[in-house]
Amino acid sequence: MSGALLYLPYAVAVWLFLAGAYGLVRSRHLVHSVLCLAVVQSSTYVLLLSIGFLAKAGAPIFNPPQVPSGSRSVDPVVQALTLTDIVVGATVTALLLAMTIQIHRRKGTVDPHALRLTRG
Amino acid sequence: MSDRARTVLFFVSAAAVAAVLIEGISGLSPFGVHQSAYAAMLLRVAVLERHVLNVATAVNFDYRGFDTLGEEFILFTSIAGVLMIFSELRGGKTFYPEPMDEPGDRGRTAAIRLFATGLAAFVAAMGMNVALHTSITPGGGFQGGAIFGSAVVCIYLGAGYAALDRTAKKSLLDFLEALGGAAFALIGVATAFVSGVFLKNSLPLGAAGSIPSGGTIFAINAAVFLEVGCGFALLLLLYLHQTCKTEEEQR
Amino acid sequence: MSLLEIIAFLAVAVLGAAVVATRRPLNQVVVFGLFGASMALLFFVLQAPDVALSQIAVGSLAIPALLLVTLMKTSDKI
Repeated sequence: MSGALLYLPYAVAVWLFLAGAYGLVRSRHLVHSVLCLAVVQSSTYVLLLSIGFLAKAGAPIFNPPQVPSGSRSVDPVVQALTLTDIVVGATVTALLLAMTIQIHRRKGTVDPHALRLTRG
Repeated sequence: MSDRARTVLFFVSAAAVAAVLIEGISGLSPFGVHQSAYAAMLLRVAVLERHVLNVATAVNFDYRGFDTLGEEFILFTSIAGVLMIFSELRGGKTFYPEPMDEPGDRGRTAAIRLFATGLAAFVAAMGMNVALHTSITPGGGFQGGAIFGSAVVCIYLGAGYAALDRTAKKSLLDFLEALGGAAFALIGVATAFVSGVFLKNSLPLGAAGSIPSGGTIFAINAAVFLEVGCGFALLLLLYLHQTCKTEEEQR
Repeated sequence: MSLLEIIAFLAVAVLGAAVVATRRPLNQVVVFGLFGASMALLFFVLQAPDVALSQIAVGSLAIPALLLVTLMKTSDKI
């Protein structure tokens, strides 16, 4: 039982990925699909940080007297990747929302089912 | 393709994707058991080599600085895209509603105006504080910049868009954002001239535990804070500008 | 795995599903704010304070502000 529980974080990452994808497929409003995309992005953050985690270890920030001897801290590389990714992902979301506003200006609707390339 | 067919297709492909993912993930070590060799090596040498106490910062701006440069350019491009999309207004001048005149607005009381504008100053200072202490506590240019940019929303809530437009100029924010991005790239070029390697740490490292430690880590952090802070402020300013009616809509 | 970690992971999973399941975009903005807060809690539990700072700054203020303006501009009422 404890062995299976140790794979829970990865299961949560896969669940978030598939749930977000399901929301994208069934979406009826472009803002709803942008938020589902954000959920899919969050699944990658959960996966990265779960891979880097070490049980009973602290954050990768140290005080001068205790210069680390290479153990008992979680992975700093995945943290560096994730924190830039969150901020940059927010600006990409902003770009998508700006495009949604533009689509509404041009076509009068934000329903993806009503927007087809072959119509007007 | 009908709705139902699309949903069925999704479930079939989701099952396939889930199978592949589960197969790949079962090859990973269980949660929290092993530490990767790269992490172990970095933790051993980072504090001594770079005099920086926050190892994630050292990784971001020094050991993996090139990746951060790429991410910065993504940020810059996205904000440029938003700027282009919003630059075409539908005809005529913008009509700035005075705070008490907006339809449905129950009026901002004096308490709200005072608190929100004071909060804006505090949020901006907090953003700068977080960015400045990058080498010694959790923080950095990205986090501090995001916090700093949010001060724009506080001013908007407290005083309305007309006051915000007087306070924050789009052209200045745009210039500073571009300056931050260029500074990061130019630091890389300068280090390439000085030491022959792009983005190699060539400045004096300073004492571990003081604010200006880490050499180029501190300089790059300042450039990133300038870009992300002014970028977020510009982004929020552009969006809040959309809440004003144009003259045509007012009529 | 400690109880706190299990609760944090399950909260993220449940709130992520809730974000997808909420249909009306205005309600979804609020649920997304909650999801962001649960993600920040998860990042703290996973010993990643830098990442949690980023998530709080971005997910609690910047993204909901952008979403609310977008919803205002794309609703046919105002």
